[in-house]
Amino acid sequence: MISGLISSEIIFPSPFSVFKGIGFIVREDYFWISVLSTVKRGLLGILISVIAGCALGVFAGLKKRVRVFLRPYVSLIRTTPVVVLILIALIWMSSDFVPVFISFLIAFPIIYTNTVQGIIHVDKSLVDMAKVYGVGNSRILREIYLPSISSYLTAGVSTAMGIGWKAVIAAEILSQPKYSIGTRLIEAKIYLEIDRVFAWALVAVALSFIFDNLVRIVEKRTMKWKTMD
Amino acid sequence: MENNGLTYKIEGLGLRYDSLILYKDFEIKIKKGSIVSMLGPSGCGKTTLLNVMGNIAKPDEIKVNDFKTLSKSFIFQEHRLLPWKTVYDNVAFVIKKRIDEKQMQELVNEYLRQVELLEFKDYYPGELSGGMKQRVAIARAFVYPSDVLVMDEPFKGLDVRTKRVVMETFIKAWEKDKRTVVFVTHDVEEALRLGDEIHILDGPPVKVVEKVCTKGVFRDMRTETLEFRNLRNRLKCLLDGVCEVLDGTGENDEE
Repeated sequence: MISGLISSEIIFPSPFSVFKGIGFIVREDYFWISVLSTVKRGLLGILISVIAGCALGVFAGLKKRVRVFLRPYVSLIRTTPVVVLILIALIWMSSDFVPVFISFLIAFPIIYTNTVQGIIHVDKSLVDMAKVYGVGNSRILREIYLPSISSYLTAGVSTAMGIGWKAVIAAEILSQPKYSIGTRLIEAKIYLEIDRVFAWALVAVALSFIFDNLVRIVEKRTMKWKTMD
Repeated sequence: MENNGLTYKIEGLGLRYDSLILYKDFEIKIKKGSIVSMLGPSGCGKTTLLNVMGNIAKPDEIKVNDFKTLSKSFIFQEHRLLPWKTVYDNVAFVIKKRIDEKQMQELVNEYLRQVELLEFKDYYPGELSGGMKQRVAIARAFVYPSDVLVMDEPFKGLDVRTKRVVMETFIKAWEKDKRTVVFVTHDVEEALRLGDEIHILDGPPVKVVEKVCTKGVFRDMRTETLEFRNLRNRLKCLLDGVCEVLDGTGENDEE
């Protein structure tokens, strides 16, 4: 509709041009390597943030002092504008690693906070039950605390992925690694190939959609018990 | 764990909550291999006694506590099953890593058979009724190699019919594995049905106002003898009297 009103392909391409653009970019040599490189960077950043966010989140959830100590640092990461983080990262590291670092910084506070909340809300009567039966601390952590936080964690990963993809692509636009969706987007913009800009944007949206659904499928499969309560 | 006349003792127990003296020089003897019902009004301090036995509450003073070093299994008011584990895994949870896998399987299946839940072993707690969940908790308590089984009002909140089924299941399991049971309740009928001995408590400070020895003659849930009825009525009156005294103090909310 907007395209019809504006009737200028260079400002807002028609859906037909966008689909044609998708057809073009999919046939290009660097399409798959660009998509896979972006996916790899995004997932790597999220994976690091899941490991760090979970480990620190469990620790902070159990120990109030750690929670209070980490609070200002987590707030700082959360409130600093993404663009500022990208610019700082550009000075510190190689263009290939900037999107990974940004994806980590965006996802970490979400996963950390969700993990802390999960630990705080663990049913203490279950922990007491395990203790009176002489179950060791490591088993209590693995078999009570971790399953208890799983729904908080999957919600965190899902949110982090949604925001993370946007941040990764923004970081790629500024850092321009050789193969990436961000680099392809900025190239298309420079050459005023607006249909390709929209086509790559659609690819990014599709990626976000696919991974969000993947998280939901994994959650459904691994947490069968939740649907039975 | 045979009933050889020996007892487990608590002597000289003293415990206070702020200004409230809950226990003062309290003592109790529990015959090994028997079921001892602790009957008392809500808030009189029964659960605290279980917590002392289970090393959950620390007394201010205690001269003898045989329970300290004993291994204990628990059946709580709520089932306390792990919702992400199946019935089998919930029962196995308390003995995992203590015995080998094969032995564990046999033991868990055996106790699940006893509580008539073997065919539900792959179900999650969310798929079971309240009574079934409490039967899983019974299997979990018996599968654990404990010297003493501690029960804190495990039938509370169950409807009459379900309560009867769960109590029968418990009696059946206990008949096969007669370990020492300390059972806390405010329900006279439950105390009489299960107990070999019934200690009627009053307080705070908690004291045993009467001890009734039934030797477990009322465990057949289908019969209600005149003796049972008379005893039930007498204990109800006694407990109601205790309740009135307690209600008058207004200081009975610590449980």
